[in-house]
Amino acid sequence: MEEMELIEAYVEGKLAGESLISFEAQLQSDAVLRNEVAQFRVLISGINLAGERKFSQKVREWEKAATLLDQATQQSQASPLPQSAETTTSAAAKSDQTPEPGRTASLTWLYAAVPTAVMVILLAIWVYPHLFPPSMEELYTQNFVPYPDLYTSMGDGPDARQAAIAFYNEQNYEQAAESFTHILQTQSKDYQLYMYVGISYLESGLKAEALQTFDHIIANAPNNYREPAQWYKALTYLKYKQLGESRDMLQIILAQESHAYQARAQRLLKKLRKL
Amino acid sequence: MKEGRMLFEQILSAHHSGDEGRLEKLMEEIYTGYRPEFLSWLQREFQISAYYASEIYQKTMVIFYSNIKNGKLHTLTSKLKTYIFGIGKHVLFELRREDKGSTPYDEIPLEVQGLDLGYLEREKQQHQDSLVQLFLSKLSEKCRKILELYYFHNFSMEAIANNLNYQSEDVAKKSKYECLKRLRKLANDSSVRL
Repeated sequence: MEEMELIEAYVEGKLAGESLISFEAQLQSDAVLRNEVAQFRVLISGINLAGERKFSQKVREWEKAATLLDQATQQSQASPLPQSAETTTSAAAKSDQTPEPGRTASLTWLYAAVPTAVMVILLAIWVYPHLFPPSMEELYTQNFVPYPDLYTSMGDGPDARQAAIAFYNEQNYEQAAESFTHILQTQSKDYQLYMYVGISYLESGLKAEALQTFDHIIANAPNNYREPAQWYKALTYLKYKQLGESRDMLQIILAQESHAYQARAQRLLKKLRKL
Repeated sequence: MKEGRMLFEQILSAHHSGDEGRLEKLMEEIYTGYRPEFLSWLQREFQISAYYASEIYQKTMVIFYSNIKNGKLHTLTSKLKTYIFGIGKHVLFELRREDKGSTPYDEIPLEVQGLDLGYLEREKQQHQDSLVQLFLSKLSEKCRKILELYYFHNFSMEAIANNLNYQSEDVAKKSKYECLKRLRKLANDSSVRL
């Protein structure tokens, strides 16, 4: 059995008897093997988490569909269609109302055409911005500004941090995410680092990781990090075209008095309502 | 919606045969079937908002599926609805626990006390999981798929081989290990240590 298969069998509890005794003895004396088993557990945990997130995303889609159906049902119950007024008009009554051809046809046409044309023009003016509002991608691009680099300007921090922020400023977000995450292993309460990690994930296309990072900041950090994290969470949803979630997040921002991003949230929400 | 027990049996059968598409359809049927009653019950009993109830319901479904795929929920000793509502109650208690302090074990509904409710804790893990997600994103789609089907869904290699059109179970197994080795190499080559 290859080493990887052996480790897998051990971690899954499928080794037994002599094989198990032998493997456990080897584990005791071999630090490299112990590290590989520990690493295997971490990798499998990560695969599981990726699966859970993917499934959670599916569940979210079902919820969204169910919510839309609820809203449509409520709307149709609130405003039932009007009854047709013509269902019982008899043929005789209809024939009585038919105007004599040619008599006032031209004037009638004019009386109908002018107000109709005016209504069509007014409708077009109202409808046009609704028909061609900016897309979600455009709105994301218009509103996204990376969280500012506060390290370089303050001349702050040791080399590892400076190296990480250099990647960030170069927009090498994948490398920035790796570097900042490494620093976080020893500085897990530094919420400014978490902000850079979240932005790096967002710009690297790692949506779930970005959301998780912003959620962590929102749950644990003081206001000066919590508020931007809420804003970036709304932008994350916008980037991935989760319109409902983005709107919900912006509403949460608006509900908080003196939130630093309230004005921005209000402007964006107004535009999202047109989508 | 079909009767709960029948749905449950069908889910077990779909999981056993590794039919991801059918599994997803059945889970969706359960989700939409119990949703109205669950949401109104949770809001009424615990005075919470519709939004919060919806969040709890979603987490409940993820935990419910986790326990099916992990084999912890393989037989119904009461109604399916009882399990789902029981998990939902636990999720609500857990989310409130941060304010109130520890939830005594006996507050966890009886029917779900043997289940794996660790999803909420795993949600909070940060550093290592974030790194692994980064490494997974660098694998091919095919590799991610086979690893997900085996390690997350717990499908058998036979089912995976059938569904992904491998020549045989052994070929599928070999492919799985190749992908795992690639993932391990990405982790080892990275400047960051797990």
